[in-house]
Amino acid sequence: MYTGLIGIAALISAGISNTLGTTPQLMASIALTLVAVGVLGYTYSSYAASGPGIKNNGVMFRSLTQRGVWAYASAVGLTAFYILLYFFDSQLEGIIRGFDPLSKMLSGNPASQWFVYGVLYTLAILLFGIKFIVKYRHSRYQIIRTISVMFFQLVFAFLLPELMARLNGDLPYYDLKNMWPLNYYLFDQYAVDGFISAKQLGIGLLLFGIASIFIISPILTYKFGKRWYCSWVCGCGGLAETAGDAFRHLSDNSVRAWKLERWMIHSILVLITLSTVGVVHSYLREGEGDYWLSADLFLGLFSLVVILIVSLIYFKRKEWLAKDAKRSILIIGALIVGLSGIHFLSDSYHVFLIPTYTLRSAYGFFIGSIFSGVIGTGFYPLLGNRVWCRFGCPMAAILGIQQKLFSKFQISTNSGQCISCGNCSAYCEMGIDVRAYAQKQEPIKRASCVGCGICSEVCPRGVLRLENTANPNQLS
Amino acid sequence: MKEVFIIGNGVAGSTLALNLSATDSFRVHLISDESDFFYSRTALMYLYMGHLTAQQTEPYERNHWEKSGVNRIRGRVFALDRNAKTLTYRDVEGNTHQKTYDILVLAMGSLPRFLDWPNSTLKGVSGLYHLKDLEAIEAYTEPTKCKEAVIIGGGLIGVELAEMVHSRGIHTTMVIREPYFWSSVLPDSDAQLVQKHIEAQGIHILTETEVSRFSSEDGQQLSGVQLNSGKELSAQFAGVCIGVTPNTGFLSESGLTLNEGVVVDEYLQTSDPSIYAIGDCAELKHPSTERRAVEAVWYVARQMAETLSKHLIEGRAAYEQKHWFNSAKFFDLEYQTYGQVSTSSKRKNSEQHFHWHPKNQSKGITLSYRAHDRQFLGVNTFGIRLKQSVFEQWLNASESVDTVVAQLDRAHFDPEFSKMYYNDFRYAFLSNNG
Repeated sequence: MYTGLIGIAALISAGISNTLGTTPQLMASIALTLVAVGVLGYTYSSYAASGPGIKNNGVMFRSLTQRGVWAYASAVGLTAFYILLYFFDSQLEGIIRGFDPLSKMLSGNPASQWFVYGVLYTLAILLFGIKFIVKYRHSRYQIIRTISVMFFQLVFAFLLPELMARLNGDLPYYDLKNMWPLNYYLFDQYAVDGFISAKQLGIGLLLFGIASIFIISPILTYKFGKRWYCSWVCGCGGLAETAGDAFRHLSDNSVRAWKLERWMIHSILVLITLSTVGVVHSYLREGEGDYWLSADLFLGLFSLVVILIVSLIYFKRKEWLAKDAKRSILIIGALIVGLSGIHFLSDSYHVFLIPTYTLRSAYGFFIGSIFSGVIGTGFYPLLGNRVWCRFGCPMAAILGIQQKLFSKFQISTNSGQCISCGNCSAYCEMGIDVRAYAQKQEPIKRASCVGCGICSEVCPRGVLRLENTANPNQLS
Repeated sequence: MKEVFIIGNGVAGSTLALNLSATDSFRVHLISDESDFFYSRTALMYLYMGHLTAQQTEPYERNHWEKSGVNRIRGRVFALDRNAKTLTYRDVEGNTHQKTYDILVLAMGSLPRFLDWPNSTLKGVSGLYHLKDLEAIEAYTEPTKCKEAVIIGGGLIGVELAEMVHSRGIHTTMVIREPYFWSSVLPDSDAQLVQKHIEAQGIHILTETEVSRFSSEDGQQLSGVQLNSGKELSAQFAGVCIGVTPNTGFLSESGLTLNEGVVVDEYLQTSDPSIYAIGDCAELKHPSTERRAVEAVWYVARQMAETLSKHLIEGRAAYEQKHWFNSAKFFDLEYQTYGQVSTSSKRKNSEQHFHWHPKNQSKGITLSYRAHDRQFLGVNTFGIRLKQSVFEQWLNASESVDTVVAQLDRAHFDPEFSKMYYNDFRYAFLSNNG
């Protein structure tokens, strides 16, 4: 662990060393090597040296994992890093230059702050992925799932986009596994134009992007639950599962937190949907004739889809929904359709009464940067490892709705075997009170469940099993 | 509204309290001298080892209790007047209160069993049952003071306590009366499998050994445990885990029929029609064959509470000992059992066992069946999770062991991608039954 700390210190000093005239490349390589040795050494001494099995001894006693001084120190450090990255990247110049050789090798371009972030992010998933695999080596589900997140991060999020940039300079950065609304900028004008100008490959990617939302993701979620994405493929999920694993028990599993979660995640989903529709509408309108789709037709189609989805949810799954959920679905549906209607009548430039580009940049700043980065990752040691996934991610919201409405995935309980010990609820990174269901002998069918399977691992009585065989039309 | 007083807020008392308070017919009072809120006793070990915080061991959110309307009382009941239908308790401040009940439910649980060992009140000697026991163990096993521990008794609590102290780096020895770990419950094949696993974790096990006395150098703090062989083990902590007895303390002069526990009929009613007993402290007047009259197990306590809830709310619901099931975890080895698998010493010739385990792995399955008609009787499984509902179907249908072996995959409950052992097991069974 201490070697890792020295490595991080070395990385910081690499930034300073630039001004001292030493070679930042050398410092960067030394720093990354030290971090790697640190993480692997910790893995060996904490997990590999003892036998396989659940190793949670002392989790609730340690300063780093129980909101002690070390936890606050790491949160401050991580947050500072994000703030530098987003707003003061010139301060990172020394570090960034250290990554030039690697960047030139991959894309041919010099490194940017985002390239450095990508390298560190990928390295974190790979190193802590190894730690996770060693820690849970008694479970093949955990091993295979972790290899999957490591693979998708390394190849799809990191290597492929860099190589694609080398092959076709016009293409916007595109991580194939990231779907709208997680990459909310997919349908922004610059991106769409970029895709279109990149000819067949670009148009193919754009179509793939649309297909992933409307066809691929519902089918996979129907078969496997949202876990196929959130804990097998997604990069945010990948970091949470690997680097964030030590903090999973910090997620608040009170009913109050659950309420807040539903409000927040669904509001963000509505916000991002409205702003995307607004942005698309306004550039379709400005460039009427440039695209095959007209602005009004687009808006009409969108309203139709909203009406369809709202009525499907409302009539088909009425009995599942709590009163407040039913009411909010109706209100939101009516609001969206109503606003679109007003637009047709009033002929205003802004679809939803707000300037959509302002909305978009506000979203990018508050949600895309501050929430997903600073709070989502920087606060791992304080709020748990899935804060972003749980309270902020609009993609998780959509997949969650799908999971709740029509998935075959559930966590089954083994009849009356639960002893209410609380390990499942404590180690659920999504803050689901798993025990509340298990002790009533009910299956767990929650929108937020990412299917990491740790509840089933830590259960001392073998009560929980992740399954794809539920009847999607039955609640319990 | 009937005034219901429940003594004891363990799983039995708390489950009943929540069920009754969900209706409008009862005002429920739940008295405990142990904790403000119901916690899971089975999680005490995780509290000690730092897997869980105290509040995480509480099965219901504190809010839930506030909303339920259950009146939680912290105090200790010490007197009962059955003619006047009153009970008297002392609260935390030492004040006494007298209350009148319509229905009284006894759910006081158990006490750790101690034998008449000399010096068993020394500092450093404790059982593991109550929150206070955990506090004591925490103090006794403080790393600067405690380097060696002796656990007396080879049962479920014994192995939990061994895992707990061992997790703090304390050299741990288990002293067991039986020839193998828990062979008072498991057939020898299974007991050996479990014992091997426990020993592989670094625990020393002395079998067929009993304790004769505790010794101390200063007359206060434990310094050693003397065995019947005359040998003395140096120890600063001794955990006494030779079983539990029903906690019936304050009832000795109440006139209720007591035996080992509070004797109850099939409606869980004591000899006084307005008093019931559930959980560890209840003793069934007519236990079913192959089952015991006192079963101090989490699941039994919960089932009794569910039955009594039904009886009091809907009327006339009898407690029935259905197919036995239980589960445990010995360090990293999970154990589940459904139906009846007798120990090697109690097994009659009419009960056949088939035991299988893969080489060099802590896993195994033992099936028991009736010799003359091959009816399936029960299963023990180690390191392999099997589905309870499927086994209940088989037991209810008096299925033959051959069907169970052929269809064992149906009970599969291990996590996805786990290695499946059913074919190996089937092959071994068929070659043995040739």
